[in-house]
Amino acid sequence: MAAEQANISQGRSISGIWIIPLLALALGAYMVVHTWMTEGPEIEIAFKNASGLEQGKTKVKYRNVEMGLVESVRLNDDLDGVIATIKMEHQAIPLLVKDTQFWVVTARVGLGNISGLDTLLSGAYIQIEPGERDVGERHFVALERPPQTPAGAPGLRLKLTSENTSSVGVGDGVLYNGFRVGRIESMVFDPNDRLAHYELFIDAPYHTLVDSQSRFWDASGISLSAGADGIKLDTGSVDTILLGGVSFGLPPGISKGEPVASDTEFKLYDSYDDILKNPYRYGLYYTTSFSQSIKGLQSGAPVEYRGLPIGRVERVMLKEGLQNSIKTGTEGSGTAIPVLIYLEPGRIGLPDQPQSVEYLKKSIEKGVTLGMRASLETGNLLSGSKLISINYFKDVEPASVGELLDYTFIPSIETGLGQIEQKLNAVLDKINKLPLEDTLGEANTAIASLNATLASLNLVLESESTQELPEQLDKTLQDLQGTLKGFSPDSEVYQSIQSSLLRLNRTLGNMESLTRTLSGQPNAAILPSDPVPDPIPEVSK
Amino acid sequence: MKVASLLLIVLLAGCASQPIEPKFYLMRSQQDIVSRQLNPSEDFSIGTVVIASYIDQAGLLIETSNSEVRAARYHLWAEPVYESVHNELTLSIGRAKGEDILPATLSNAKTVIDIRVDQLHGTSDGKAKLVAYWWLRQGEDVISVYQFAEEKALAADGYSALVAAEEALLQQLGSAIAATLVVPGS
Repeated sequence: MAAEQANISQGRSISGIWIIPLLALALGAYMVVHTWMTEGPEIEIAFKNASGLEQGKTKVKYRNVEMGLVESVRLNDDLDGVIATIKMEHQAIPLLVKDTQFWVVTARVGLGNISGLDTLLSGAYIQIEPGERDVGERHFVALERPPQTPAGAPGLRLKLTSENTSSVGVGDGVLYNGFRVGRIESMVFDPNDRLAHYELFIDAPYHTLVDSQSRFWDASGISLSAGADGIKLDTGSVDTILLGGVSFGLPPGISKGEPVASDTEFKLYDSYDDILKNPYRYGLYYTTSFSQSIKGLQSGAPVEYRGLPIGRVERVMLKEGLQNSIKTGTEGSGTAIPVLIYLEPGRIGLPDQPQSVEYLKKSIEKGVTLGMRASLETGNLLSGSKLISINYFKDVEPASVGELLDYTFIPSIETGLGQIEQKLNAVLDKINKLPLEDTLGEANTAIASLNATLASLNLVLESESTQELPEQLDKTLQDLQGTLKGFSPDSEVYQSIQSSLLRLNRTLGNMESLTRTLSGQPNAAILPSDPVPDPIPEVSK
Repeated sequence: MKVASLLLIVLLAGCASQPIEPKFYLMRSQQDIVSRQLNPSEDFSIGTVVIASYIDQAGLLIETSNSEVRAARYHLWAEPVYESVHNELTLSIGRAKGEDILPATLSNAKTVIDIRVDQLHGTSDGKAKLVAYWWLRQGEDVISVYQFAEEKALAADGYSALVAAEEALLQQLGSAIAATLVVPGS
């Protein structure tokens, strides 16, 4: 019998049944990784309110491609807004950076445009405008209204300030020579400075049209003015007439300036005429004061430097002057009336820039010490309008610029017609005070007396002796003439007198000699001394 | 009394010395003066002739040293020296110019000659000295001004020679003045 050999088994290998769980595990891992890699992020956007936002319905779109869906909408912690949680698509990750903007697109009907009509059927959605930064962000604050300019659009963003809110509004056009080159992006009225602040954007390549000397003015509506040269009508484009807008350009006579940086601030003038009246941007205020009558001095009256316009009268500060008098206890003492003036260096050819203002300031400061004074002059003799002249005067009291009512003060002097008028008034006052009635009474008495005297004189003149008087006088004059003729240089008498004078001179000379002799020798007249012979001139050897 | 008076006269007569007789000099041109009708210059006339006040005295003058001048007591001018100078210059200018130049009072000439004699005396080294100025004027406008300063040695000792030398100097001055009389534009 053959020995049976036991079959030794090698042990049991892993059952094939395990393949299925392993496969499931691999599939699950793949699904987790895939889901992790393809799932988009969850972001939060803060809105003012939930208008147009619906949980699970409102979509987020970029270029009309769905990029996310609103998962939930809840009130924020302060209960003054809402926060929408949005599940974004994975491909939206690059769009979610620091300066990405969101806003709700809904149907909007405005004066200038109608937008979002498609949302009437499809419902509102959230528009995403990607930013330019590289820093990722998951929390955003939505814009209240769509931005006027896409982020990153090429162009120039500027600021305007205006004293009037005018008719310019957000979205209004910015025009250059009537062509729309930009738009107003925002408008805020600041109660602190009481100015309306606008932000505007000028699209490239038109932004190069703006420089440091550009002026912006309200081109809204229609401007109608009537003057000596007829009726003038100024309008902008049709949409600016209806909707408002801003124009810019260079005023006449102003040369092109330097390029400006983004966010540079400009003044928004009320109209183009306003620019023509005040074409310069930089200037400075001064006060001066006058003791004489300022009748005829109006706000806007010219201020001249040696006949050249350099500024304008801003206003007469009567109220402030009175308050100052009360404050200083000088009320009722005839204090000079202060006048506020505005000087612009650009008017006298200096560049319209802050440095010129400093230069003008220093020039006036030095000029006042050298005799520069403000004076009130008559601008128009017919209308009586007055202007202020700044000039140098000799023999004035030394002075320097001071301060009056919080402005630098230029001393004044009375000159010209004003001074003449004042002197004339003084003379007239003196004439008024003269006792004319008494004088006339005395004069009448004197005239009566004179009449009596003249009557007596007539009697004397009519007498025979008086009638003969001219004839006798004539004869006497003839005799006198004859006598004087005898004393003319050619006459014998004259020659004789001259000869006698010469002899007299000589005699006096002899007398002098005699006197000299007697003073040296008193007895010379009685006891003559030995005569001293004269020295004899001798021929030189 | 008579005796005393007589005695006094005798004493005074004894004290008296021999008096010196003064001599008088006249400065007149030695050239012949003939009778003729004068032909006054139409262009020039003599205006004022002024002499320095120290010259205008009776005695002739000698400068004995620097700045010291002595007037002779016994050698005197026969007439005021001003007249002599005026006369001598008038004649000598006319003679040098070749026409009769009269005083301005007798002439309507446009240009007038004014003369000032500043020095006229003898010097201690035997010379006569003359310094003078003259200027030509038309109305109140002075056209030109000149100066003359010359000395002349005496020909002999004595005052006659001094007078002659001074007269010669005045004639030189007259010639110098005449040389400056040029009619403008001629």
